[in-house]
Amino acid sequence: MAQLNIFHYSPGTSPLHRMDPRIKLGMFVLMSIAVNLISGIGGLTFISAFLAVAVVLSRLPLRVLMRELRNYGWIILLILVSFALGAPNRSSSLLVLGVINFDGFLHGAQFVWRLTTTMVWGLIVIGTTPLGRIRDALEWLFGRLPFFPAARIGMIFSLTISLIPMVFDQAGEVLAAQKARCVELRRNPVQRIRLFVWPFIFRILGRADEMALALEARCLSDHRTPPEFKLGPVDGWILILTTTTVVVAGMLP
Amino acid sequence: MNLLEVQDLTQIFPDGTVALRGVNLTVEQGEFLIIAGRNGSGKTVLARHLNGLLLPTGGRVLFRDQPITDNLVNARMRIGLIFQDSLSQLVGQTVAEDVAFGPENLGLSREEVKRRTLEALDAVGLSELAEAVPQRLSGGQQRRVAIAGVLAMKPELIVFDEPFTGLDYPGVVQVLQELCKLHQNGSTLIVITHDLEKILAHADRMVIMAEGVVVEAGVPAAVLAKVEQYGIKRPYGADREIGTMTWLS
Repeated sequence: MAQLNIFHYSPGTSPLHRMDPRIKLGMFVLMSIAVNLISGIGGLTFISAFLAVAVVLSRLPLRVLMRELRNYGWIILLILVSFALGAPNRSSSLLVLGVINFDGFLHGAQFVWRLTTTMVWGLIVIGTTPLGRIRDALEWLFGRLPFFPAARIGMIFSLTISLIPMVFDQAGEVLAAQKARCVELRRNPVQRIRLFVWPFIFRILGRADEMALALEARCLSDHRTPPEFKLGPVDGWILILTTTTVVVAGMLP
Repeated sequence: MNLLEVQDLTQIFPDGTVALRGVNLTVEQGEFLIIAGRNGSGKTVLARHLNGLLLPTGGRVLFRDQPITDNLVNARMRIGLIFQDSLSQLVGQTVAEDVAFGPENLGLSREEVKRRTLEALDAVGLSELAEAVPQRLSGGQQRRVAIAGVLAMKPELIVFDEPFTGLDYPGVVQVLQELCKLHQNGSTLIVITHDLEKILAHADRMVIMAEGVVVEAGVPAAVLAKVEQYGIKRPYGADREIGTMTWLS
């Protein structure tokens, strides 16, 4: 059984699950832009509160998502350390041995805040929308552009996303097989990477090849049945609410 | 009338490996054919030729007397292929989305896609799992999703490549029941396997391949005595009736 991971859709009947995928994508774009343009802490807090409501409304399995996101903690730490050590302003309050810059740390924290907000919004979209519906929405959006291969772009997107969990699964399999043969006893990290990379790439290419054949066997085509969308009153209300939130957040200090 | 005819099919890969050496084979409408052989005998390569996924170095495959290379999309629509590794065949994030993938590729109307999806899910008894994530289903259920995905294309012939690999007992029974149901409903089936004990009782005919050649062909009772000389285990010993060689009780 494949484990749930952050790139998988979680079936459900929440209001967010029922929304039109185009509106959800539009909200994601709007939120991502707003979160990166708004400079005030009050505004960011307001958007984060709105996001927290959206997470609750989505009824996604929070504990599983948090567990899947645990590795993200290392990225946060790396960003904070980079900002704290790399900030150019050396005149502000220094915390440890004159190396760590508090202003830099605050900048880093704000950056992490924005990044996390954008990522959580992305998780809500992915977690509540089947991949095919995201692809449909993208095809619809790109289809508005003249001479743009919308169907092909949609399919590439869809395959890329569906391959990501497969890549993690394969990496996990290779690592587990190597651990079963005591790979930890090898101290040389370069040798361990080398031992990992070859079977991993071999498996990934094999699976990709199988998938390509399977797509061909099922008549993969650019002239697919056009997607069907249903805009409901909930979509309108949520869109109005999101836009209002962004406007209010922009006005807060 | 022959539904499918393979004439002198030869496949030589660029590295010089000869996978098929002049294979000749016919499949009649409504037939249930087993293609057996040890690993590396050319079974899977042959299966991929039947669906037009591989194009031959020599010879040809005819479907209703027409070379499949004349219209590969039509061939893939008429001849469904269930892969050995069902997971690689599943591209949808939900079961229903995956089953709809094929009909959508054919550019059918949205209503027709929905109708076919519901029919195919109903046929394999997975209607209640339409919104489930395929990767989280059991092996047997995943294979049934793959079968539904092919059924939704309304094929005239379905090729199963090692349909029992990696399945536990309930999984094998689920897939076997689907195979029998399809055959009873008039579908033409080719099952590629070396695992005869699970399925032999249900087949009309058996073909044995060795080193890229068809070496034996006939009704199971006639071919069964020779299977072990081609590296396939004879099921249940020498004195067992073929009619009892099934995992269905």
